[in-house]
Amino acid sequence: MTETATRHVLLVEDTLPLARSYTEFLKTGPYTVDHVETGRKALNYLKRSMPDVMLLDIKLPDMSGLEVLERMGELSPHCPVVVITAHGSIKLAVDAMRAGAADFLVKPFNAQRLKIALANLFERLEITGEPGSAPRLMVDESTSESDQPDDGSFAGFIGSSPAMRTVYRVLGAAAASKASVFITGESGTGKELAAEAIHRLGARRDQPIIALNCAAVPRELMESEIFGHVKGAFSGALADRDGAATLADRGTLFLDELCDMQIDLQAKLLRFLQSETFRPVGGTELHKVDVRFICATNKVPLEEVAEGRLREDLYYRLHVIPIHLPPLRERGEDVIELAEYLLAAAALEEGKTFSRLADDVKMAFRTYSWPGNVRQLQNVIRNIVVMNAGDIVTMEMLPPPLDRIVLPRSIKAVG
Amino acid sequence: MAANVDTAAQEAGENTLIPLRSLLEPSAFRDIVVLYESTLHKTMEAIDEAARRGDTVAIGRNAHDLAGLCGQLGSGRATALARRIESACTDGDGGGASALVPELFPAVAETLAALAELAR
Repeated sequence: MTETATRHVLLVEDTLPLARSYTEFLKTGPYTVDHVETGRKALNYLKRSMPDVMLLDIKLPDMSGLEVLERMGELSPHCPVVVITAHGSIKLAVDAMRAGAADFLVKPFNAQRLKIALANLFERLEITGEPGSAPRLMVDESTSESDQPDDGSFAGFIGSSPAMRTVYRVLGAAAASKASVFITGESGTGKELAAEAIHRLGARRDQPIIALNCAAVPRELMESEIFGHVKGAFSGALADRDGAATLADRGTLFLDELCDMQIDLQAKLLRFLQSETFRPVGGTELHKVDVRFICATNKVPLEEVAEGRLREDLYYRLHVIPIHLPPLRERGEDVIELAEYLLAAAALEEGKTFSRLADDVKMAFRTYSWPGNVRQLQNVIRNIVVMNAGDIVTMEMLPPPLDRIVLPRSIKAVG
Repeated sequence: MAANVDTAAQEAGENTLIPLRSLLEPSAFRDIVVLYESTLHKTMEAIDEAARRGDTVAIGRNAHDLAGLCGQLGSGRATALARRIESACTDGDGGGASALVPELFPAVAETLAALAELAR
């Protein structure tokens, strides 16, 4: 956020000492605060005034914070809300996020935690135009015209569905910033491609992007993979070795499947994020680097926080720009655009003449749920091209489980 | 019963008021401490009265507030007990909640003593 911009906060909290503490915390930053004690007073306030953000306690004496969230939709639909929940109520926070809250804070929290949450929120707003995890469209002027998804493709992604156009815009906007990015999406939706796109379109494009899959590296080696080690740090450490943090200096560090990282290492990663310094395993010297962080997971980060598998403070640090990649089944006609693109590419590579999909194949593709997403579609197309010959892909060529799809009689005729 | 309180939850947390001491005017900081003290007293009285009446809802509501207050002050023992009482009330175990209330007094007394120390 802009350092000098003063933001106006509406604090809704019925426990007076807590309200007073939060107010004093905020006053140490660029914030002015109005405080009300009930949901009703908060709704009345919103009829008269529009704060930059509302800090909303979930448990209020006259109504729940969730009800306030619902009712304020008509009054101040664009006012971002950070909900405050008690320890052990993260499930309630998840409900609030689903109801439109931009973020949550778990009691107790200190001044730093509060200010990070708000700074992240305003940074998201500036970059994406949207406080929450499903950003609305906003054209970023720093993104060049050629990066805009006019032809249904963007930085390696194919598809012109509204959901993907939103993703393209946010990717473009995120690339122009150094803010941390948290990519979520099912397996096969293109999280690594998204990370590469952000790196490639940003100012760090000439520097390395180093990817680490936290689920693939053995736990005992992960710390060394990130921070490197010095000779003799452990048996087998025969020489000093740089880790991903050093290799990504001035570039981007992409941590895939972050939620699979062991919790004690998450604490070290948090310190690294905060200070941009680290010690290699077995080393004593502090190393300073300049790294942009992108992380990804196929899990729901808030649920991982609730289950104690992802540190809440790490979540706050990384969840500055959330990007959710939709599953293929929610991308409408993208499945056909993608299939045709992949068909042309595979046919060229395999020296085949396939040029189009039969109408009933298109319908089968639209009907199927694609649990493996784009990666599964890619494999299906490759299988068809390798195993068959012809110009048109027909139903008989479909591999399992697509060969079991039953289509309505009216569209069974081959197009 | 205190021995049953989750050990992790009993760990002393951060007293989030401490950084404010150096940032605020002494009188403004004292005002905050006094506000915490008076609210802790009122909340304990409310819990005690509700326990005498057997009003599980009121015990739970006030225990929730108490957990929030003591958590903010880094008082691990009082926070953990208040959470257990709130949880018992949520589960409809008024007897279990009331049985824990006497343990709350010394725990909150510790919190108040730490507050008084902070205000010096």
